[in-house]
Amino acid sequence: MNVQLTAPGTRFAATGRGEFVRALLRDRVTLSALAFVVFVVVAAVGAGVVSPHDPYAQSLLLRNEGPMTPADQGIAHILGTDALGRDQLSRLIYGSRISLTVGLASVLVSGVLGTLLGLLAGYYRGRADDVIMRVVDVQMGFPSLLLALVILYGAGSGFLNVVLVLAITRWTVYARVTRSLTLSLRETAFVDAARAIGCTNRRIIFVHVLPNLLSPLLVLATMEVATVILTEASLDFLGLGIQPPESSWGLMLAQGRQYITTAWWLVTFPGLAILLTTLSFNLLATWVRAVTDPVQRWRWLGVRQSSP
Amino acid sequence: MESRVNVCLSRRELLKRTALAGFAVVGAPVLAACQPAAPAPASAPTAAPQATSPAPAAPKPTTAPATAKAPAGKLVIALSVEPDTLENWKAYSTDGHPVLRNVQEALLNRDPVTNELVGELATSWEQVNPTTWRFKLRQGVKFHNGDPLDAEGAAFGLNYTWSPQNNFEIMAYIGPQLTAKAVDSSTLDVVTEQPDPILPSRLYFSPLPNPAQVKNDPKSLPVKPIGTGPYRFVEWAKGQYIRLTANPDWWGLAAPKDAHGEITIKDVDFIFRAESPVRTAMVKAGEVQFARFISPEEAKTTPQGVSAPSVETVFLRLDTMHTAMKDQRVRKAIALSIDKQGVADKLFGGAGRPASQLVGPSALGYNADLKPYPYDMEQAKKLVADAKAAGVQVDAAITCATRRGIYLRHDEFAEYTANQLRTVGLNAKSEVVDPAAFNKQYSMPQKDILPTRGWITNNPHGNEIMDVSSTAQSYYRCAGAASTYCNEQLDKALAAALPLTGDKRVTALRAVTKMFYDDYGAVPVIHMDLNFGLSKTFVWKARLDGFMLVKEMKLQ
Repeated sequence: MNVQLTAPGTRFAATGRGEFVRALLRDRVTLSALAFVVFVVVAAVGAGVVSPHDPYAQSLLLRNEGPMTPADQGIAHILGTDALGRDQLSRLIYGSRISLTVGLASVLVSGVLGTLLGLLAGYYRGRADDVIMRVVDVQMGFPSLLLALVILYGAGSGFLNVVLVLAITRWTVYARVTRSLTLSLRETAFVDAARAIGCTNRRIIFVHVLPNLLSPLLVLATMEVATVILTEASLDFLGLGIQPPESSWGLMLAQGRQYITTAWWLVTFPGLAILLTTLSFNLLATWVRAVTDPVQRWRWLGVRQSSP
Repeated sequence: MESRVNVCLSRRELLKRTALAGFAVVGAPVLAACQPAAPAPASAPTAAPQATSPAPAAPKPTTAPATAKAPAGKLVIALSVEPDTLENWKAYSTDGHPVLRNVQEALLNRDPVTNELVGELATSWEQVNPTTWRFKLRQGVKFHNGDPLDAEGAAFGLNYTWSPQNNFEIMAYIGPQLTAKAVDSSTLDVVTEQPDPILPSRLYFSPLPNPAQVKNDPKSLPVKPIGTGPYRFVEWAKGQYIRLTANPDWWGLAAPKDAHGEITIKDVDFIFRAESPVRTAMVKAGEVQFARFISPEEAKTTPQGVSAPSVETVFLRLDTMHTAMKDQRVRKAIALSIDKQGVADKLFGGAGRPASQLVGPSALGYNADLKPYPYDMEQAKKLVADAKAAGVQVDAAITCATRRGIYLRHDEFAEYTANQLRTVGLNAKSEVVDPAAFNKQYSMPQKDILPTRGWITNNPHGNEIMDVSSTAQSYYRCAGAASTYCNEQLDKALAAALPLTGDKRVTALRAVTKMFYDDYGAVPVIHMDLNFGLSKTFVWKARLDGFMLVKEMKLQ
């Protein structure tokens, strides 16, 4: 456990913001990961402006045409067209909206839920701990994709349901991490001191314990974004997530699968989009973990380890 | 504190034990299953012992044509769906007949070339009065277990298959009921309540089971079919393969003229791969010699791609009780908004021709005067606008629903349809529905369908009977099992046409077809071709009815 057991606020004292930026610029891999994430976010936000064609406009005559096929009007179909003659690039761009929104929204919901429950369990122990952690145990013993499928089958598919389902299936990770960290934090001297001067439990949890959890939770959340994007793609692939004619990466994979031998671009580009996005989030998570780790970060930041 | 420690320990202990038990339960069968499963059906060649050789049957027959005509070699056929039962009545369905029609035989079959009815277990047949047909049975036919086939047994088999108590699925598809009785040991009468001029066409779909098996061992019927056919059932390893082998006592060996085929292949394996790219790849790799139901593009990549016309017609079934679709202008607009030629050429890769009606030219009563509805978006838009001006709620929700996996590219076609309808001004979306939920909606009696449902389903309809009456009874009339259209005049005309024969029947059925066409009761889209991938050495001509009879196949 690389948890820094000092009072909050001192952690970043030794390093300035500039050093983070410089470290980032030096690390090409992380930098390109960040650039890709930014690129995807920009594409998703400005989908209406950046996408070259209407993602829903069909054309039977332009069915399954390869990359760089000239379009009826406007820019060529840079990444080709799908089985109904729709522009593949535009659909990828609109699909990134779904993937990112689902990813970020469900990480936010599950993160808040899991962290709160983990804090309760770890700080108060006793019955709350027993109940919450048994629920976590039970749910972790259950394949999360299967659970998601069952819930979606009952509740019906759709964007909001997908977000909720992913939040429900992923909160346990945060609960476990938060609880274990809280268990050790609540025994530390600064918490004892806070208690001795008469802080309420709520103040101790939110002012003294929670800030010390933020860095590991941030790492976890970044990795979870990748996991959730993958799970969402799997749900779409299985036909229970986003429904046509909306586009999402998983759905595009599912629809292109039957042409895998005759039209490679239908699965290659959505597959690449999923791969690169999840990879980028994972790389970012690794970097965040390293630079927020007081033992390791001097290597990355290129500064001498500051004595606490 | 004390108690807490205990709790923790016992829980840890519990976890440990559960984990151990879990490994034991999961691990053991997996390990056990791996060993026999490895040299599985696809790669198991002719002789069992050399189970690891990768290239199975293809080269075998070429190297060993040795003794005159003894069947040799092994054929592996890749199908998309494993049948759920091998009971004889299942032979009406696309997943049942590939296996069943090789093991069991019916009174009649169709000539593979002329497509006319020919005798199989019957040698001749005639209509002795309007409700009775008489069949002469072939002599010397033996079931695979040695039982001889006589009229008594044949009658028993037919009555069992068509019994209203058993109510097998075959009744719903090619009912109504019929009763058979033996006249003497080789003569059989089949009686229907109403005159039925197309009874022979229905019987050709109904292979005969072994009567002794039905009586004494009904439990084995779904898993171990016994018949009179050119191939004997060997074994069914569920989820893996169904194996048949040549029947040395087949009657057809002694009567090659009537057999309409010969046994040249010794062993046949059917295997099941749901994904068409997988089936295609298996043909290309030489693991199978025959892959059914692949896409036209995939067929072109196989050593020998075959595209053959079928009795299947893809059409849009409209909920004519729907708020918007009850208006004929709206239905016409839907009909005009589909580019049938474009769909045939592009979406289905050229594997089909635009259709003007729900049956193809092979069906008696096909109306050749009707042309496919034209493709005219401008007129369609105008029709919707007119209907709107006349007070029709054209924005009532429409769902282009389709059953998951029902045929190749059904989902794309549904999306295409919804998009076209939105373009002409209707409020349509597409939805792929799971089979169970879909069937519940699809087979709902017409009177129960709400005007708000607004389903447009795209289905293939196969008229295997090759007579318009079966299609009309299911889809055109008010009481039809799959009908969403109701027109009392049409019902009357159809009822009057059913007992007719000859030219009168043709004329009457053509008139019924035209009535349905003129009122835009449904939108026929294309007559679908089926695509097969064959190995280089395989000789076979596709049949219109889709049957896959190994006696018509050869490996060179």
